[in-house]
Amino acid sequence: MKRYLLLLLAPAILLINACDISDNDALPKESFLKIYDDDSFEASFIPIDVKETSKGDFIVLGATRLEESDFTGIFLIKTDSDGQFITQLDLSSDLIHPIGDLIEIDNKFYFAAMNNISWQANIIEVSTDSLTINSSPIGGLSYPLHLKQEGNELILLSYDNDDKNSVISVIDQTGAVINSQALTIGAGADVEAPIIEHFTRSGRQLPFFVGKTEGIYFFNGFFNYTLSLVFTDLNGDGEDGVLQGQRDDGGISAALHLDGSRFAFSRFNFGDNYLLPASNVEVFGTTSSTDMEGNPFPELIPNAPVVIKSVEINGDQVTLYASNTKGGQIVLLAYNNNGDLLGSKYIGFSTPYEISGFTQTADGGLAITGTVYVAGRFARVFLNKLSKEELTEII
Amino acid sequence: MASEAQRKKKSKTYPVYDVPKRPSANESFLKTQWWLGFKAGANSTAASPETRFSGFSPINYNATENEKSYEDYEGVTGHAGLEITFYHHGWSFSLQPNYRRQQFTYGNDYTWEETNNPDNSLVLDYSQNHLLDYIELPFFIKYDITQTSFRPFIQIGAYYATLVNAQKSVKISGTDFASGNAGPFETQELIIGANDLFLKSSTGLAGGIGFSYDFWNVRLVFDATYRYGLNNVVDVKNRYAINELASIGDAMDDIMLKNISVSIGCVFPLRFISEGYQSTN
Repeated sequence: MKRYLLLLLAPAILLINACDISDNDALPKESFLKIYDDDSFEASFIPIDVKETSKGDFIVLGATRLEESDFTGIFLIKTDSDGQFITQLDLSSDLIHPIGDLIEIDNKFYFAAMNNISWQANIIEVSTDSLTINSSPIGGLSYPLHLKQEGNELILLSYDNDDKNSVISVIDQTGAVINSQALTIGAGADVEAPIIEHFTRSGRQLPFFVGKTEGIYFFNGFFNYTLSLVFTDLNGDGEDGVLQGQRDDGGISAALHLDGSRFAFSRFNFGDNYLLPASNVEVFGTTSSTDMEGNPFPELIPNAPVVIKSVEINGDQVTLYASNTKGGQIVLLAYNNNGDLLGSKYIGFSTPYEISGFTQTADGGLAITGTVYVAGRFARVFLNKLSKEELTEII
Repeated sequence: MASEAQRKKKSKTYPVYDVPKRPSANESFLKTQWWLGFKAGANSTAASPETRFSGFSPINYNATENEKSYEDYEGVTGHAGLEITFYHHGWSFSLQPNYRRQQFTYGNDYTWEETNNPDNSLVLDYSQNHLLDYIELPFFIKYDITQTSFRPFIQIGAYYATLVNAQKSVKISGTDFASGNAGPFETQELIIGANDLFLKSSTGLAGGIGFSYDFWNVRLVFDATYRYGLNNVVDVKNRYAINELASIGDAMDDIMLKNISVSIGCVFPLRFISEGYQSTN
């Protein structure tokens, strides 16, 4: 009798020991996908970049459409480490056209924007606690295009509308210009038109960016009638080398300096996209991007925006590409230093997703931001946090 | 008239003559028995939200505006399994392993409206249906109220269930007031594998009433049972990690399941089965 009762009671003992129930209280810190919705029909958000604060919160820099201006306004979102919305800053003020990168220096965040009357470039400091901002004009520079931190330097690419120059400058956090080089885009309104359309978002968004190799600065912008990757030492003697594009129909769409003269590139040419994860370039010569071999990616949308960054996965530095597919998803492609594809991952389902930026998080994961078209039509910000394990699964 | 000594002598008994009468086969059958058989039925589920979560993170409105509305005991699903029961003096100890499908549904609405022209608006209705397949091990203690061929009984017990499969389907319908007219539309139904969305384990208490009826050599059992879940069946780690769900603006609440099931079964006695014996004896 006792033997039978024990047999019958065994399942009851089993249920008490269901351990996944007792473990089911973890917060979704390691991995989440959050969509930040606004119930205004006319609202439209354009995320630019994301960074993690020292407390593990996230700051997303973005832009919003403004009714009263042809340019975009400044928009910031702060979330906690779980992606829960904390606060936002929607600045429909005298500062417009925010640009990345979102840069962290001593627990303060910086980005660039411009004055809506004088078009003067400003560097904006953001306090992470309350998202209050403090702006400083960047002396003599207008129409900012890209801000990047390389070591201790802040490098800015801007456009000089008066003299029709692309201008690359080294600045500091107060807006003081330390060094600068202006290079002509070429004469005539036709050359300038795509730049202005880029600012007003009435045309294509062009891949303007800056960076630095060992002692040589580079920018991707208009030079001599063509969207080109231009190398210069900022010594006032003009360009040192040029990787030419095809007017605004072809050129480099993203670049990451690997070592020496090796770069991870992506390029576009009349709508086609090519990835070149380990490519040598003549820094001190004149070459053409159309001559560069590359892996064709017809999966990507025409002239796709591409973000390339180096992230650490399993102790190795991996070159991670992110771009937009024709299927409305974001694709992450991981390459090793030799340019071998290690793996890929797709983000997005049901509604279109577009990449804006990503950053590696302190826990070894990845935070990705971009645009999601809620209900297929409303441009909203998403934040996707991949855990360290999910990032590792890519390779 | 018997004397006092004679009365004492009559009432005196001797142990050797006091051996109780050996029970007949019938009596033993009725008092102690193993039963084995099959059982199947229908069930309906309600999901009770404990803590609510929003698929979208609103930045200019309250998340409660998009709160889910649960439809309790809407759909009917099925279950089938075995019944193994040990009966002793009116009490039964019953293990009833079964494969069961449970279903629950909720919906929520989203509205986007133009600030200066409310006529330009879009209303979307999301209807989200969940099918959960469990292998369940319930254990019941039953008490037969009568000891006749028709036996009403009450039962209480507990269950442990392990998830085998989970599926979620989403229907999106809406009205686009900005398209030139109040144009209603429906999108294609999305069906998503949702195993990672739910915990493997589910436990709870159960209680119910029923009756059994003995005829020929079998016992027909009918019961109605209420199950009360004791744990959150949603895997909180994956609430926001499932790409597909966040994309459609969904995040599961913490929910406990409640279930009403009716079953009919047929069980057979395992002892004293012989050609000349019937359970109705």
